[in-house]
Amino acid sequence: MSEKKIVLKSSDGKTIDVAKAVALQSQTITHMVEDSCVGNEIPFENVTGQVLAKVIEYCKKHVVVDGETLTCKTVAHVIHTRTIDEIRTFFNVENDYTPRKKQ
Amino acid sequence: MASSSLPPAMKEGEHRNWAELPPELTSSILHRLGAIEILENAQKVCKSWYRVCKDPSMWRKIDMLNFKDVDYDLLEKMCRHAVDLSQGGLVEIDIRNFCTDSLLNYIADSSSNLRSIKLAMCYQITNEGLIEAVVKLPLLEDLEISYCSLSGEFLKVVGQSCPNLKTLKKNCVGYRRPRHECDDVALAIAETMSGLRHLQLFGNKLTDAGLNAILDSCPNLEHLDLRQCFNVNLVGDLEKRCSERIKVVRRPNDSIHDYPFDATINDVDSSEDDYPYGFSDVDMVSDDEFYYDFSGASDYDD
Repeated sequence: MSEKKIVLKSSDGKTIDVAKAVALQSQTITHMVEDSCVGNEIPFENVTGQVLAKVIEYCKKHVVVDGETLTCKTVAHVIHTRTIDEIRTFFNVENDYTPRKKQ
Repeated sequence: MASSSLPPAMKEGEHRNWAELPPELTSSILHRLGAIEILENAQKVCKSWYRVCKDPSMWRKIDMLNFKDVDYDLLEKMCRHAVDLSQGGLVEIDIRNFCTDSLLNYIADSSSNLRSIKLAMCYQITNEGLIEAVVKLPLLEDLEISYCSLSGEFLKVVGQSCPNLKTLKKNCVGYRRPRHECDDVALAIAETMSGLRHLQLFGNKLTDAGLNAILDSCPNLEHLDLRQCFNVNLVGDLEKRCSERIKVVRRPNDSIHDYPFDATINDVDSSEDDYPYGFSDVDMVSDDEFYYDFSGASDYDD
């Protein structure tokens, strides 16, 4: 799995490793990455380690699609109640999967 | 779930950028599904979901929620496949009904990092099978073996082999008649599991003496569930000992509303001499009655 990681550094010197795609769900983090990214590390001079950790936890439990934020739990529930075809239709995902030939 | 109650980004038929979701986020979502759903549904939706589902990180915790009328052989094959996918990184596994000695040992052989095993209603597992497995799992912290036909003897081996054990749940069917006392389980725990923090012995036959032995030997106990332990008389000094030292105590006659299994008490009238132990059909309370055909049996043969 692709794992582009970035490092967030808090005002009190704590660092948090996180997958870039997850972190970029936060608008705040996205702006910081654009403004002041030095290599892989992004400094947050006004945010403590504790707050930063909570933000990342939130990012991990939510997905943002087309500007809408949803919990991963809600999305999982949608998958849980549907067949494969229904899942494809619902998420508008193309079937590019070739099943093995069944004997 | 009515579509009107879904947030806008999830309404059916509208084009959304779900296929562009990065793998980490897809993984975050699919992680919440049970193992069977991932293997039979999610990984078959498209190639990118397939790749996400093959990643070992998806299989660190395996929840084999099984569905009715699914063949146990197929379930065992799927479970072995899931364990293979973890590539040795398995830390937690939860199996109901279909686990066998050979499956348990397959898991133990490939997953020495296992921290948590939960087995319930696995009637095919034997004492020998369980002993053979636990000696390979020195990092075990959490063990549940509820409604499995096992004696207390294997518990000593568990205690000796798993010094980090913090949670033990050994639940069984409770009954008041005929009155039968047995402190084997309690004494095995007292002898070998001094690090326990959380102990659940629903329906156990232990007596006050057994309970005292546990209290003598397990100073770190924080949570003790003695519901339907009808031989325990939790009054006076014994009660005081429990309530002073232990944060949460569930007493023998406490409510079973939050108990996940069937708590029917199996009292037998004295007239039924031939069959002193009536076994109720211990039906799991399960969230969903999901049922579908399995056509992919050959997917799990290697």
